[in-house]
Amino acid sequence: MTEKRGGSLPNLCNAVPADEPPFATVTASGGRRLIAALNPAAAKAGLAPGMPLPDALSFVPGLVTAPADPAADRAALTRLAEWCGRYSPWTAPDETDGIKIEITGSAHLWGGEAALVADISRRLLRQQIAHRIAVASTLGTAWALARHAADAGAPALPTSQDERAALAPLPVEALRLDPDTVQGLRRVGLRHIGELYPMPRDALARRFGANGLENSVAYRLDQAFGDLPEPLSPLGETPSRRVRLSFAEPIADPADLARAIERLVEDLAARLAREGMGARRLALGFHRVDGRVEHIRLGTARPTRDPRHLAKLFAAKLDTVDPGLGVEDMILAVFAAEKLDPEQTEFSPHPPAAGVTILPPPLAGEGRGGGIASLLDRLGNRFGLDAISHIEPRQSHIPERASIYVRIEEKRGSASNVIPGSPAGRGPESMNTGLWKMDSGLASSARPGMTSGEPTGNSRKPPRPVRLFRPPEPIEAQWVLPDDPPFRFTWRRRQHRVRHADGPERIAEEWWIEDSAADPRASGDRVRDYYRVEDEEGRRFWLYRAGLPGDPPPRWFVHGIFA
Amino acid sequence: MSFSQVMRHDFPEEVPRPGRLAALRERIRHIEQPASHGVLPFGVAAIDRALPGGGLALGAVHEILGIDGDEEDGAAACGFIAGLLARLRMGPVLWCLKRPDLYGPGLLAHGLDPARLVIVTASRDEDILWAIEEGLRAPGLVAVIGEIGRLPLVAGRRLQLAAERSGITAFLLRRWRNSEEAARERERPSAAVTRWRIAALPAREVDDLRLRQLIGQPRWRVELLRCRGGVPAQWVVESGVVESGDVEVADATGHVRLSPELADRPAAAVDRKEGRLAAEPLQRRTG
Amino acid sequence: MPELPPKRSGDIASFDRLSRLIGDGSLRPHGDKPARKIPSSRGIGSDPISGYAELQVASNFSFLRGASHPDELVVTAAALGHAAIAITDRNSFAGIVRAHHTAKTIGIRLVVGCRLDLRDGTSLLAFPEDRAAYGRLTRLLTLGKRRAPKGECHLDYADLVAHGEGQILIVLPPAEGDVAEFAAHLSLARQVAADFRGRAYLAAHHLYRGDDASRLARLADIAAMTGLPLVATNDVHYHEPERRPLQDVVTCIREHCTIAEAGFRLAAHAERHLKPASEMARLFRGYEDALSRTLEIVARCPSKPARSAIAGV
Repeated sequence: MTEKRGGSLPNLCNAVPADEPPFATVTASGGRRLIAALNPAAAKAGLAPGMPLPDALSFVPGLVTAPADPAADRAALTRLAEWCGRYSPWTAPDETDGIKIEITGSAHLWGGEAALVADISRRLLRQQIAHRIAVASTLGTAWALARHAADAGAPALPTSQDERAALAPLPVEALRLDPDTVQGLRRVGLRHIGELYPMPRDALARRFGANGLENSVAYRLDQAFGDLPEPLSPLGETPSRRVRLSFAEPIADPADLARAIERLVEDLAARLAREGMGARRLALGFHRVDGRVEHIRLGTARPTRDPRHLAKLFAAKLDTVDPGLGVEDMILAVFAAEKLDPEQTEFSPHPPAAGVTILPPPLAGEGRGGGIASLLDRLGNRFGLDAISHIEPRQSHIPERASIYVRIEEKRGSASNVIPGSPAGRGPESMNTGLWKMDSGLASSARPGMTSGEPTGNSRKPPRPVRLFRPPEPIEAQWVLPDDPPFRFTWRRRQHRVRHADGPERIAEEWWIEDSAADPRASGDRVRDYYRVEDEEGRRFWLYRAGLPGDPPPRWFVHGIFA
Repeated sequence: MSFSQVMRHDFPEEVPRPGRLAALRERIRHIEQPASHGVLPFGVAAIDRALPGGGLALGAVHEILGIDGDEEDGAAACGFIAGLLARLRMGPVLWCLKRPDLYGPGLLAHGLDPARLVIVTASRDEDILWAIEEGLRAPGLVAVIGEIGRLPLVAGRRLQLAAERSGITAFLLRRWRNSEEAARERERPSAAVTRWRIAALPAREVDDLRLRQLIGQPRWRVELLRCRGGVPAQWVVESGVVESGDVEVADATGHVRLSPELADRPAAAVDRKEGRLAAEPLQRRTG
Repeated sequence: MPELPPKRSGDIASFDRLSRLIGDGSLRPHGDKPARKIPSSRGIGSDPISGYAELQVASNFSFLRGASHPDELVVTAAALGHAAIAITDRNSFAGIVRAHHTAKTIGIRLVVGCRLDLRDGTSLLAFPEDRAAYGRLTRLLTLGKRRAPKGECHLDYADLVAHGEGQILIVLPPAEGDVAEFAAHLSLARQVAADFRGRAYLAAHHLYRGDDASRLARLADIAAMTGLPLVATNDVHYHEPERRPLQDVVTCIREHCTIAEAGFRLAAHAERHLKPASEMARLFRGYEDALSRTLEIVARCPSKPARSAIAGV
């Protein structure tokens, strides 16, 4: 079992030099003004959070105050947690004043835990954030040490064997217990964690377990010793792969950023290639010197590990990133990846010769789909992938259900990897992809004498318009007999006189569909009688009457227009 | 008797043979109009004659407009373009539009396999323009269609250059929000190689007197408003047909033919005894 | 309210004329109200306009095709005021027994017949004119079933001719009805007209497919060309439209699919039910003869079914 090592940084506030005046934030509670947080000078002067302001002022007349802004504090803490993401993706704020980081997998990248801690410390100081750091095998122990053992400039880094001993002298509050439980413990003389060690667990559980599990002494002890797991839920999604580039000197120039992007994507591409995977969702984080992190997020239509393609996609959005005073780290993270066979990669691994115009050759293997996939990514990058769709047929008599727009993100039946237009598994010259039954204009050998109810499948289809309105647009219609098509109708304030009409074609509800949003029944269309009508000018419309002829009141709609 | 036979017997040798004349004409045509990516003929001599190179230039930008109410809906233009795409070589097509009202089953009738389409929905003309341009740079695409309203001339020129470079053909289906916008925009100059206007016309009358209320063979007026290296012209067309028994049935291949009936002609009645069509002059329909 | 101009075949929709009539006030068009009250197409009631008998009915004895019991069909036909009803199951007389008892109780005339599905895909309705013809028909069915695997019946046109004496035949129209099919239908009709002179008819359906006007015209042409009189039927598969869901389910069972997968194998609408004569008259406007021909056929059939038929032999 791998050791979990965590760090905890409590009590963050803007660090001020020791000779700064006492400073506190003030919050209003029930009509009273109370001290919320203090700087070290104010703490040294004897103030404490929760003290009423008038009392505080009487203690320290020169106290500088400002209103507490918990929301802004939370936001700042979150930003800091994001920034700490440079050390590990498993990072999250801890309550209101701490950050927890899982560094098991990343400490070695910094040359060990001590070096990592030193790096954090150095950078936090540069951002003028006072902090205390502890690293331990469990979150519970690290939390306790950071708040009750560590000190500014003196982080707590016990070895695993020393952790129990390191915890022992700490007060029982360090176990993350609520005030009632703490009071209860103190009342029976238990003040330090070490005094709890010899106590039988079930006795502790019975006596001090009433206030909920988190405040159960036994529970907290088990967590601290690692007998009970306490996973860290990170802020944001956990990436599956990360590559990081850190700069000795922070960079801000777009050209430098672009070059850094290229390095990162090449790195990532090599790694993905080794695994036979391609990325679908990525994020590129720019960690600025001032602690803020900017992101570029990408989704691709198909898995890719082509460094040129990725670099281009990121570069297209580079102008949305503000480098501030400089970027010190760039982290490229993959959040979703899929299998990607070598033949499916788009471009040859060799970069093009200098001076050659960048028009990549059509790819081998999949056929001429090569340029399309990257086009889809570029379009998706700008409009969002759900602005891109295919049209797919569905076997339904209801016209609006017979042809639907399917976003390319969604898997398309069993043909999820079919590039549009390139027939799956057939020669490139075949006339259609086979998804839609092309109407040759003639029936295949149908059997004469068959009556309705025995569809032959390939027979002549009733005419359908090239444009279909969703939803159908209501019209005013005039007719003579209830079952006639209209001889005149008004649509979009224009009047049309009907000269010729085909129909009716009757289409009834799909009684087994429950979904009322898309259901004609929702608008009362149990039956529609469709007419194809031609007006005086020759425009041909697809109209229908909703409900049966003679049903009051008959409602007419134009559903589409023919060419 | 073929023309060349006449030539041999009745005229002296010095007169250029039709073969040589035709070849000369071809050469002149090629000089006038580079047509470096080839052409797509309509298969209708009257139309192909009017186009340099004998067909619609590939790797170029073509504009298609509608008329009256169809300037908002672009239905006739859509059918026309679908037919062209059906006859272009196989492969994917990018269709950029603002209103996703394309209907697959309707496209089938014009010969277009809807599965070839990649559809991008965007709300502004600038976005449509961007998408068209991106499409014109994507190898593998056969064509790009953009349903666009406002199109500055400079942008149109850029599209034309992109099309020439890649060999992908662009069709700009001009479609406007309302008649006011149409009136403002439709007269603006354009960089397209050809400019067409398609209007639905009343269908050819059904022969059978009992069925005169039905819609016959649909017809369209196809106007070539502007053509680089050609002159404006117009035709009345119908869908191409295929023989089935002794009846002609509209095929669904995207081909068009000149409408065989430009004026009313005598309707035919069925000869019931023989089961054959018998021509019988009837009253001319007026109006 | 002035009378509407009389409907004649060549006159069905001259919208110009109608518009002019409306324009000069002779007809009052209604925007949102019907111009004339027409009985609802699903209404029930006896009809004085013209008689009608439904001659093409598949009961649930047409296995996995019909969705109504013969009783329900007979009762409904009686309630609609039909002159008679036939139960014509596929290659079977099985539904006749039940139908007869109910018909006798209710008081509606039952016409005995069946639907013959031939191996080449053509189908005809057969009604025996007398006892002997009935016997021939049952022997024909036995012949077909004996030569076929269990549950099937293999019959050819030649077999029908061999057993054809005394049978009244109705040739059923092609399912989809495009040009090629109609050409084949024409030759079949010619053949039947020659072999069953004076005893054969041509069925016409209103399918609500949008092209019914041209389909009916073409069928009428074939009828005229071959001398087979046109007769209207509604290709009934259930007694009332509310039974359509069951009909769909039965189709799914037959096709081995779920209702969600069935797609175009299901009908687009619920029109294959027994309809009042007035509704049939509306659907076959201009072909009223086809409706009265159903009565003609009923008159040619025995008023009492053969005892062997009732006994289920």
